[in-house]
Amino acid sequence: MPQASPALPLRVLYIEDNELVREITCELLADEAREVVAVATGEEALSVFQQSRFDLVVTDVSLPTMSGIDLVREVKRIAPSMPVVLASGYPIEPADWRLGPQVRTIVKPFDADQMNGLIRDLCPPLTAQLP
Amino acid sequence: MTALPLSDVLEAAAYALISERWHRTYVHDMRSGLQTLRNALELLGRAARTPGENLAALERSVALAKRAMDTHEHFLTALMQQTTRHDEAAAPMNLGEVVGEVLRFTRTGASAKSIAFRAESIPDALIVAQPCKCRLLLLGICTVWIEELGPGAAVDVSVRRSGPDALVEFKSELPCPAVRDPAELWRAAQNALTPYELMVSLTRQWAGSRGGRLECGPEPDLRNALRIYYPMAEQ
Repeated sequence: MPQASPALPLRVLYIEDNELVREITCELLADEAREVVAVATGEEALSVFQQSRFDLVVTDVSLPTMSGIDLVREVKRIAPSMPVVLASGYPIEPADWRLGPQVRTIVKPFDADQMNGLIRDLCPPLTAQLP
Repeated sequence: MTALPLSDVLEAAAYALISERWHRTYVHDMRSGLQTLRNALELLGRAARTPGENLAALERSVALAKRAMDTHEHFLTALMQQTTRHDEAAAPMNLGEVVGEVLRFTRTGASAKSIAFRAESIPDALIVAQPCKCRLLLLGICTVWIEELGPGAAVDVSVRRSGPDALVEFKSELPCPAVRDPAELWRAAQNALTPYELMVSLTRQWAGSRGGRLECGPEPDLRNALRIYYPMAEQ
């Protein structure tokens, strides 16, 4: 009978330019089942995204220089099936942006339960099976 | 009853115009502050629910919650000051930093119209001015340029030294919003001003009150630019 290994940690790339929001949300997102890498700009995010493996991207929409929407377009060009959560204090209409599948939106201020629910939908817990 | 000076009325109108135009952005920024407060509460709850020794996590959560509250209080105070006319004292300030903050604030609105602002500033553009009024006028000019320039326009905003003055220049390849002679606007204010003329006339008065000046108007050589000359502070 196969033996279940400990669940693999979910690798989350989180992008938010507001330092305090980034720090405190990063703290909230990270737990035993998740590793969070947090950066402040879309450009940094793209660089990190191309150098490491991630299971999920969570990004603010309003970012300096490259917006969260432009970032998601780039991420989807590199990895079309990458799950993405777009968070914003502005109302979001994803249908207009045609960002592709596996993209969910959330409006600030959101509860941790709402965010966790989206993450569970997009990334069901993975458990590696040992032979 | 004391009559309201025209300058106060126009300034209040400028604050009202900015508050209305940027309502969504102010709400957006407020929601970011509320997000940190909610997250801080969640972290406090998580630390309290964690069995065993959780004092360090609890203390860290309390520190984050305090920072979130301080930041939100600062935001609300600034919001009140930035959206309503009030008496304020002149203070030393860096004009380049104000321009940077204004462009950060307007970036979503500008990007929605595909208008790109490129900013460049000397590091020591120090002036003595009323901070909120200075921000209001620069934000007001940006606002009207965003509204009236065509999609895809690029605007260069530079802050540099010009003799004894700090110079803020807005420049685009496209014609900037139409405006009558700024020197005539104060008289015209008794009839009607466009939003841009409101900002231009107040900016002219603001710069002139300290010996500075404003260049813009219908002349061909000013069709693509607006320049604010404001005396530099003594270092």
